[in-house]
Amino acid sequence: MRINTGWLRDYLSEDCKESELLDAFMTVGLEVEEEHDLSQVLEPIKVGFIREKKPVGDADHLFECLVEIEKGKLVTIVCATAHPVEIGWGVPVAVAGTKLPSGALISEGKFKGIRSEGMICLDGELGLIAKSSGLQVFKDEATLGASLPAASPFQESLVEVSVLPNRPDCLGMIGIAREVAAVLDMQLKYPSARVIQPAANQSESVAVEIDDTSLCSRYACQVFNGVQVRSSPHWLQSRLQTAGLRPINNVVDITNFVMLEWGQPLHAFDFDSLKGNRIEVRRIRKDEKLKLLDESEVDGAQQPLVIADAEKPIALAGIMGGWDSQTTESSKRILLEAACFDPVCIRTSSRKLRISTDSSYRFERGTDPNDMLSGAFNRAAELLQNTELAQAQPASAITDSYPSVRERTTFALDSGRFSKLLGTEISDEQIKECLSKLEMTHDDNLTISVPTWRVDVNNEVVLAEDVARLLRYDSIVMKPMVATTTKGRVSETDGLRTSVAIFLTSNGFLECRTPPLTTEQVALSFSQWPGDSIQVQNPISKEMTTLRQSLVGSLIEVAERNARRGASSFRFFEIDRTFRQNAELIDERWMIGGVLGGPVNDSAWIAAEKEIDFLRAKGLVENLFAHISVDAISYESDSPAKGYLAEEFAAIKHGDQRIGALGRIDLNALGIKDRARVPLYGFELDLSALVQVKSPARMFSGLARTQVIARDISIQVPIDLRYAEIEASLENAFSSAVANLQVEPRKESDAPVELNPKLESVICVDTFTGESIGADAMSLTIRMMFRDEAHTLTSGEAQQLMDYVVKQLHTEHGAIQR
Amino acid sequence: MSDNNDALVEAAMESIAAAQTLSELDEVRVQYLGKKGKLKSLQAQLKSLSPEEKREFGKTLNTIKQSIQTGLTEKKSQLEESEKSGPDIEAIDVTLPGVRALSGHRHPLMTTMEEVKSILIGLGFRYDDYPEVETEFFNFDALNTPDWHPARDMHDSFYTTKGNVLRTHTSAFQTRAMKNFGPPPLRSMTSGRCYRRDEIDASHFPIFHQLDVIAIDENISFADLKWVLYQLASALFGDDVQLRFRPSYFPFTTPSAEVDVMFNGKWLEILGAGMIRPEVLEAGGVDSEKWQGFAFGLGLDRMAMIRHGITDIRLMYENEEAFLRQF
Repeated sequence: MRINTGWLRDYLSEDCKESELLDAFMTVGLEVEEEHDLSQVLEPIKVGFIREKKPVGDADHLFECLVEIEKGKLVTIVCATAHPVEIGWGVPVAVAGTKLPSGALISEGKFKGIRSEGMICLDGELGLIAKSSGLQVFKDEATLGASLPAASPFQESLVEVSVLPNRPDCLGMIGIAREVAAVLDMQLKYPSARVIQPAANQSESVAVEIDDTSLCSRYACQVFNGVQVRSSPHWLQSRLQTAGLRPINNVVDITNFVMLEWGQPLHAFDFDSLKGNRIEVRRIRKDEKLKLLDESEVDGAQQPLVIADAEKPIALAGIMGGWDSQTTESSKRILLEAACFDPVCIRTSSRKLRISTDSSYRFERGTDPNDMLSGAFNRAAELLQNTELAQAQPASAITDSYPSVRERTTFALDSGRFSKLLGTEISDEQIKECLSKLEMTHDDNLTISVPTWRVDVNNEVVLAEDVARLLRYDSIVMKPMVATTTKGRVSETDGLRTSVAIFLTSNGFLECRTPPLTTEQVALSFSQWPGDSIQVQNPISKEMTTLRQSLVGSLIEVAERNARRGASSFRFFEIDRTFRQNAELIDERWMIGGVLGGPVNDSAWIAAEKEIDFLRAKGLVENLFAHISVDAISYESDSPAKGYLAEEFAAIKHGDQRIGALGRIDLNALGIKDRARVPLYGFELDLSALVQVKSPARMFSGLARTQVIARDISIQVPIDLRYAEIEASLENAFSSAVANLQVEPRKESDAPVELNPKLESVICVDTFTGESIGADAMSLTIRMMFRDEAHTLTSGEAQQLMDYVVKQLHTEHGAIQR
Repeated sequence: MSDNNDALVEAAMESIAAAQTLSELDEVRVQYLGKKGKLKSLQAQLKSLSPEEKREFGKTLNTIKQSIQTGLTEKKSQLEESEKSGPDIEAIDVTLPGVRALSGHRHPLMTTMEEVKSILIGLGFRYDDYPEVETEFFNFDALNTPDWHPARDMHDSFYTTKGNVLRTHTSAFQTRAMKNFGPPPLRSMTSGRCYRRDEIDASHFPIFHQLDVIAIDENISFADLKWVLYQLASALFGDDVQLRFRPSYFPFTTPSAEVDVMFNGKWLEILGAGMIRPEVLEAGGVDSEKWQGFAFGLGLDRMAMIRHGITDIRLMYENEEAFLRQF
């Protein structure tokens, strides 16, 4: 809601500095989105003197003026006769290129072939409220070329206030003035409004029938005759303009003005277009149609609430008037209406019909049925009768249908509870003083009666907030929390996320944040688990339709984006949720996703570059598992997820449980142009599952002080034999070898010793394939490390073990020692 | 005679001074004190002298020998010292860049999230994750925002085809936490992604991050809320941080406040806070006659942007290396 502070001052009992007024908005809790001090904003508007004026062609509403804007500098401005101008007048001029406070940019225009280089500005167009004629006129030539604020000082600002949805009472000047007055210790000055005694001539009477009083709790109307419908005076026009409304005619302008003042929407029907002296408030009937003021048409489908005469709907209740019953310059009699509708009913209709107006905005937040008549309706009736305005005469009594009066709500307050909630001592007197500033009344027992315009007060805590606001939040002194101590801690998942992120960043990875809502293609590629995809029914773009089932697709987009920027090394990761729907259950699974490719070491500037390949990617994943204490991981080349190259893919398992995947990205299959120009590998691990399987704190396993024995064996095996099988056989063979070990005598002791050497590690240190050993063979060198914890093995004993293992590998796999 | 001798010592001293290495110095030694050295040839003259002259000349020779010997010894230790520590033509150029492994970087949003989290953990809050695909109940209804409530207009929500809502704020966790953890005292928080149908611009992205906190006990008050927020803000922005509390509105807190921080001479809005509404406590199964508490929530994107001077939210979701490496 846009507010001119000059207009707001009409309702304040005392004057104050502009800055105090602006601070008061914030202090009381009115959210100021923008504020424009007009004395600064209007600096570019200069006083120019009209030197010549002639009609434009035969158009009787246009004049071509020659305006002197600086001494000796003349510009041509075509002006409309919204306001008369005369030669010799100094007037506010905005030359082309000037931006007005409303946001409008003045540009050069052509009218009937004449170039116009600016605009002569009325007060309302400048965001100013007019004090007299609506156009500021200067007679003193000394003001020529001066800026408007210098030539005629004023104290006005335009403030864009965002009225929060709980306070519809602040959707009018009076509500805002009440709040501001309360915090500035002023009085709210109500505009004059008096109950109108109908004229002796009550030639008309109108019956009102409300179908469902839960949808419309009050409806009041009155007929006026002798209405002079014409343009409003400038003080009224400019006030509407400062709020961003367009003046239409005096009758419509009065209803809009009163809405801006009281927050209560009103409507004026052309009475002669209505049938049967009868108003019905009911739902539209299936076969009925209603043409609205914006010329759109509503039919019976959505069954909105309407206002109808004896025959047909004449307005969409609370939202917009009807076309056929609108007040025009030819209207002679009007029916002024004020009503109070159910907020949910208006909100539902407004949403279904997708029509939102200043009126529906206010009704759907809640209006006050009591102020409706005593405040708004009477104010409008008075203005209609004003001789400067429409000179209307009441031609009927007010018909007021108000079956169930809304009473003020009361709350029996306890200052002790307020003190406890706010954490500061609040006295009965403070509560009374603060709340009475908001026109709440109280009795001796601190029972507070709340005015009906405060639709938000449904709990005493709201009154505690009112007290706190008016005492000012700053006055509540903070104090160290005295409460039961609680243990602060991260969840296991969160702890693991941090640990993984530290590992990956230490290994050169950049952490990414990519949108979980993406295209179906990206969302579903690389998915490792079954489950329905989760789609949004109201996406904002086709790039964001589906919640992803894997992070890898998004990370490939990141890699490609960086490749376009010239990157040649790629290491990106993200830790985030993936989403699946299984019947009614939603599976939000935390994943660790990574994409890597390019040089192993980006800054190895003196060494030959090596590139990331499958085994290097796997090594990284293995280290990650070690870092987070996850053991017993196996890699199997089965069921590749979509998007990976089947030839270089491993499903990662913990026991039988699938916990992740690792593989080379198949850009072709994804239809992605390869910009990276190096093989890209992706991995994705189920963090939610890792939390379950990771070892608790590792246990110390003792330190052997005897010497470790390292022995390499070189064997030649069939090329299709998997390394994991060799390793498994080797471990088994070693156990058997230990069982068959012949212990050799020790020098230092005659007593026979018992040996139980353990295999501590098995590492493949070399593989070789080539013509020299034949196409169907592969040569491997495997390093075994073992020791007995109590006695250092003799070389003879070590040899026994190795011989046994080699023999066993030969038996099982046909391995030949080289 | 004695002039000649002085000249000899002088020449020897010059040669000693000129020697650059130990072997050069040894050559000088041989030249003067060696078997065929200059001193030996002087010694040969002794034979032809009278006993008195012999004694005299012998003294002179001794003095010369000692002088040269002293010169040699000093120079030798000098050279030895400098060969130990002095410049070597094969010394490494220490200004060459080090050979480094690739360095990785955390995302500024995540480090900001973790920093806020760790401060709050120190204040006794537990951290847990809560669903992003939420029910309307937890996202709105339980937070005193029924379907007809105009406050729903403040959140333009994404709905799934199955009728769930993508959480529009992390506040959706509040009544879940109350239900999960049973009777207070409770201090709990969560953070993560939130979704709203906002048009993308420099300060809006339809997917953003929040962190939400609740504290419930018998006497937790608005004054306590201010204290906790000052602790948090001073940990983030320094001990002399200035905060400003403005009345505001959230359906699930009353009194409600927007909190601004003074940063580089400007007030910046950083979080929303307030006392939890009795209706919300009841929806979480907490007896509002007995317990009270506060809630606050902050936008992590905005916080990260303030902390790191990032001017456009979109940069944080483009994931360009040149951006990510700056943090």
